[in-house]
Amino acid sequence: MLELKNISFSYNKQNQEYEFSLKNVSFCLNRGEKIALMGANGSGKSTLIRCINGLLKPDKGQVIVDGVELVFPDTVLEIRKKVGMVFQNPDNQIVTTSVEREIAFGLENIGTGKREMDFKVQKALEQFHLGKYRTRPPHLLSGGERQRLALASVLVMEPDYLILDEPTSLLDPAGREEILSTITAQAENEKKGVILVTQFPEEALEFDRVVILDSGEIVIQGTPDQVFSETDKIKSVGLDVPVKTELGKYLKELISGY
Amino acid sequence: MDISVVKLNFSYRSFVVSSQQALKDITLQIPSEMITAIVGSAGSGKTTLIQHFNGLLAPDSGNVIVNGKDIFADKDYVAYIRKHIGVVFQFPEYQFFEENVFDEVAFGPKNLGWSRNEIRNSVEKSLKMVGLDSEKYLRRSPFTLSGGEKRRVAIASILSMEPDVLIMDEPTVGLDPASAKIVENIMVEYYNSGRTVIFVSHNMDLVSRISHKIIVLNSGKKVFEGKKEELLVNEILLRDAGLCLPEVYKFMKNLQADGFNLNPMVFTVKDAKREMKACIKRIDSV
Repeated sequence: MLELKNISFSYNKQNQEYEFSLKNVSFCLNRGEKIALMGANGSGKSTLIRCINGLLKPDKGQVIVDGVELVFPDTVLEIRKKVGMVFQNPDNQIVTTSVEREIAFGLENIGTGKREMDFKVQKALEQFHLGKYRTRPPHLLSGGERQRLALASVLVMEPDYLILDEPTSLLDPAGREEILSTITAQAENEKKGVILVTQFPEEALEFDRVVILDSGEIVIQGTPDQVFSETDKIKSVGLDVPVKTELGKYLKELISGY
Repeated sequence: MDISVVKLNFSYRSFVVSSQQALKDITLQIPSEMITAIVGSAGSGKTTLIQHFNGLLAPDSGNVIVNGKDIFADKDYVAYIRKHIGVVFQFPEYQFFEENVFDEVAFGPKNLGWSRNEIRNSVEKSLKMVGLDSEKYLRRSPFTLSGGEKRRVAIASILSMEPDVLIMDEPTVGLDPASAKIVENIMVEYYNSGRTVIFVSHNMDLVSRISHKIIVLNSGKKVFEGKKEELLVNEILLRDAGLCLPEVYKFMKNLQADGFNLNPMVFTVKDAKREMKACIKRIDSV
């Protein structure tokens, strides 16, 4: 289980009356569970996920992954091995000069043997339809293909928890659906915990729980049905409910009026 | 500015990989003073195509013709084209490099050799167009802004050159609904001011709401060019191109299939509600 207990964080620590980007955020993520994290730009989503795998150090509160508390610098590496992260813009994490080397990069760094590495890289290339680009430099892939590459190079490390910051934003609807079903399979079959940051309420409908942040605080959380039934509250924090939820609700109101 | 593309072929070349053809025999028309959307699956050639419109890439064969003249006809013409066709790239905020918002937005006009006054005016005007208060933002570092504000500053830094054609590559990606709406309105306002807008997007709701013409690419080939009403009824073509129906239209189409007598060709939540209301009224009056 991945636990966040009363996480607070501020970017501006010099200032006496600094504002917190995260205020007392707590929630748990079980293995096999999928949480959609939503919020307007600037609500603290990216800050929160950076606190989870120790890219940022929370000012207050604890991050505990499978019983191991995140302590700087003692357990940072251990936690980063367990918690894989895919950034919003794939160019921020792609470091090598070919697709194949990019996928192998993490494995090389933890000293994986050549045969095992080749096998895993091959599998990832196939799974993410990147086989035909094996030797291509990543900058000659399209935006959506680079997003698939970023995801592949994180999944190949087999982390127990996956944190994904809008990993499908540059993909076409079919590609997005495929990535989502890959993520779902990771949660259901491999029992991984998944946190997905998304701006698409339609994606969140497929998840177990939805957590909504506003100004660094959790304002609503629950199952998608519970959360999206609060249309006015969702809109007040600058988000949309799924189109079919909104129109469906309107139709019910119309019919009950007659 | 009319843009037309005639039998365009293009391959990326690299020392390490054999070349692969990114665009195949593309012929199309982008009418002026309209909003044209370019859609298609990841890797279908959308970004490659728009980089031809202002001569960032040169075709292997075929032509890009703007106002009746090939953009590579002479050196002066391609320079002229680059001044008048502005491109906002994917995640444009990652290209920030100036210390404050003013310098960032003024960078283009400065390079065009405008006077101080002209530069100042264009910066203020373009910040206003993207809904940012110049008093408040001019001196701020672009790196301290929120995601939505950054995107708007990046768009302003192209608008400040007052291009006749505005091209945007995935302009709403990574934005929350409120910021995405602002960017959508920027495109509509730019079109309303008599200019041409071209954008690439995977968001079919956005595409169906604001575009007058849609071009669909699939594996480097043009597979559709026309109106949204024609595209949306061609589900096989949509599926093959990795696209889906807009959520609003999909909902209305399902209602129609359930026996509601209504017109499913609506693209905004507001219009959908109006259509549903009219439909229920008709049932009631029978």
